[in-house]
Amino acid sequence: MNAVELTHVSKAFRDTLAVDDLSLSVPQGAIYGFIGPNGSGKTTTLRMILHILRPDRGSIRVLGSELRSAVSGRIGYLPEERGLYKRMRVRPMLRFYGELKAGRRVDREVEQWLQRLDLMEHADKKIEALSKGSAQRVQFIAAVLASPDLVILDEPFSGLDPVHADILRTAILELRRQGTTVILSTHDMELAEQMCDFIFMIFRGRKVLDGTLAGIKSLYGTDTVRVRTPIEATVLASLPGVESVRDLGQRRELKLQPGADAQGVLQSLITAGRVESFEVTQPSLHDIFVRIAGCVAPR
Amino acid sequence: MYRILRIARRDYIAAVFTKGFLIGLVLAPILMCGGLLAIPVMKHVEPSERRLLILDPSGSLEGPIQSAVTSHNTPKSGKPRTGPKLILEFQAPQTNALEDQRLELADRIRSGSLHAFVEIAPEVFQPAPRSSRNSIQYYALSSAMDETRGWIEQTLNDELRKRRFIAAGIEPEQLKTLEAWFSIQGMTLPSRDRATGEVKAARRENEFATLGVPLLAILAMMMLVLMGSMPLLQSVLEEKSQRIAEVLLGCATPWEIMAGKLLGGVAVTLTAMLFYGGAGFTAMSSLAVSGVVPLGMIPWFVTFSIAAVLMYGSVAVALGSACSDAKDAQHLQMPVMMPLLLPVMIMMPLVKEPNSTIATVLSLVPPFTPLLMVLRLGSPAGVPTWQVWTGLAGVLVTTAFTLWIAGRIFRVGILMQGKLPSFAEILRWGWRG
Repeated sequence: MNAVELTHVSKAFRDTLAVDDLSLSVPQGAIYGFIGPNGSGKTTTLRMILHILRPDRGSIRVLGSELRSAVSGRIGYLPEERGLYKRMRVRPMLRFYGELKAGRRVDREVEQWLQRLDLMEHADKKIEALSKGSAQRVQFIAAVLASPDLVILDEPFSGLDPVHADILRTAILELRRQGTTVILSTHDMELAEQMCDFIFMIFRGRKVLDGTLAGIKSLYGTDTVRVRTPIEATVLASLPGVESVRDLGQRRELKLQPGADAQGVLQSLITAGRVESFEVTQPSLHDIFVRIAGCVAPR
Repeated sequence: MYRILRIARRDYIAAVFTKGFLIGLVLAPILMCGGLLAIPVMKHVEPSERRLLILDPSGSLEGPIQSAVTSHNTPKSGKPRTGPKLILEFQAPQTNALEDQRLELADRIRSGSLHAFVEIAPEVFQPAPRSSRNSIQYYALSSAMDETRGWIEQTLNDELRKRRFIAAGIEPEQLKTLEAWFSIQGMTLPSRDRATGEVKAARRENEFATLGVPLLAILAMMMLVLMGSMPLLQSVLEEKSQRIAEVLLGCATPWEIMAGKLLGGVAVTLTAMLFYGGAGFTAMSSLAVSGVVPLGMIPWFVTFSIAAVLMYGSVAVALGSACSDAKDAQHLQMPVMMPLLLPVMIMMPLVKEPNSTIATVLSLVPPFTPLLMVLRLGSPAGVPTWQVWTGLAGVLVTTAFTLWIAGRIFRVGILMQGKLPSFAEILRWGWRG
């Protein structure tokens, strides 16, 4: 069963078509990655799933029923920009959001989550006194307090240091283990690769990718070479068979021209200078994203 | 309902348990009644002495006027003197250099050594039937509003009339009885109780009951409604600009959010009402004037206050949702406050004639009804019952309509970002949803 099903959904704002004939299915219990450039229609799609916005056309089913209202304890939402009352203290604010969602007192859950996300020492502080990372963790608790079946997280790792990012990652994976469906909207392609069971990419309001990571990568074949070499990127770009170069600092990622032979590229590299490492691989999700958003169509 | 009450509770706590509210609770009436309180305070600040010079062409006024000044300056049987202590100087007018004399005295006034000078024309002592009424002139820095001018006018005329009576052969002792003056006492109408047949005698009409109660009632209601409704605009703006609205909309419907906020606003108003009501009755009881408040108007006052908070508050919520920043909110605050301010601007003529056609008609126009009906109910003349109920019905219908439109505007506006929409656009949101 799918947790979310969108069928031919469109939404326009005045003359701008934000979402264009979008259909997608989010399987229950999965972590579903939403990616796409800014302004591509991600937030509009999320808001429609939440029923904060109504689609102009098409239908949306959430958790097995046509959604009439976002007001359900079964859906949790963490927006990209913080939505916290600056002058409220952490504990009463979490109780407020939790009680609104669950329709009952949530004191016990609040204490458990504060403990779990290492926020007990901040429980009586005002939101305005918290660091960005702490505020982000508070926002996450507000989204999951009512034990929802579906959680929509828009950039949940924004502002977190590696320690707290790991704590949050563990919490999200634990939610999935308990059967919660997670929609994870992010610009962090590495994170999406690591955490998501499915990747969905929207670009200019239309779906351009949808499937498992392996399935998506298989579409692009092994047309990428990762090398570690002191040779200048401009020199690399001029080698025969190389279409483009992405400089990652310590490594360079070469996209080969269609039909180019990786062995031939390796020989050219050795002729041009020293090669410390050479790996023929599939393109990363980041690379796929850039190719699409840069209007380079997949094969 | 649970969500509405939860939002109302949060908004109520956020509004009431702040230093700003507690300070405002005390400061608001002080600022509103500031003018009244300032008068006695300012009197204490004024100089305690005023030097007055009289240009007396007769040379005969010094004795009697000086004696009147001595009497004015002496406190009488424990009562404090009203106004500053007066010190008199007398000069004869220099008829051949009068202009120079005036200029010299004017310089003394400007330098602060003299408060004013009075120039008396000679015809004042033997007035002809067509004598000018402006034969005594008072020169001061601000002569029009100078209370010493009134005092010297009364004192001079008393003395001059006394002289004219004596010249006509009337003894000074007879003057008191000849000049006896009777004011006409305003009375309420006597009535007969239909049930018991008992006659309720007419009462002396109290000026405080006639003017003070209605004016205090309308000012108190304006303040209470402002306290309950205007912060809603800022509250919605804060939730919108800090993206809290997006989270709230995931927890409650736009209608529930708006209803919760309005309920919170009503609770704030009722809290302030309890505070001021308690303080007001304590103050009036200690001054023994609590009897002048018509108790029958209190339920109407509460009902119209709640309806007004809902009516103006829903407009504030809707407009708050259309704003993106504090500057937008400032632009939109005035149109919301206008229907509240207008009745206060025109209250003086209406309080004198509470049952005039204009007062009746305006009090039945729903945006003005709460304030104007309370003004009329506070006057001893009362309001026909059918008018109060008609006014209330109009307010309730208008409130329901405003809530409906505001809810639709709120739903659209709360997620909109960017430039402030025009009024036409906002109305279109309300119409189309």
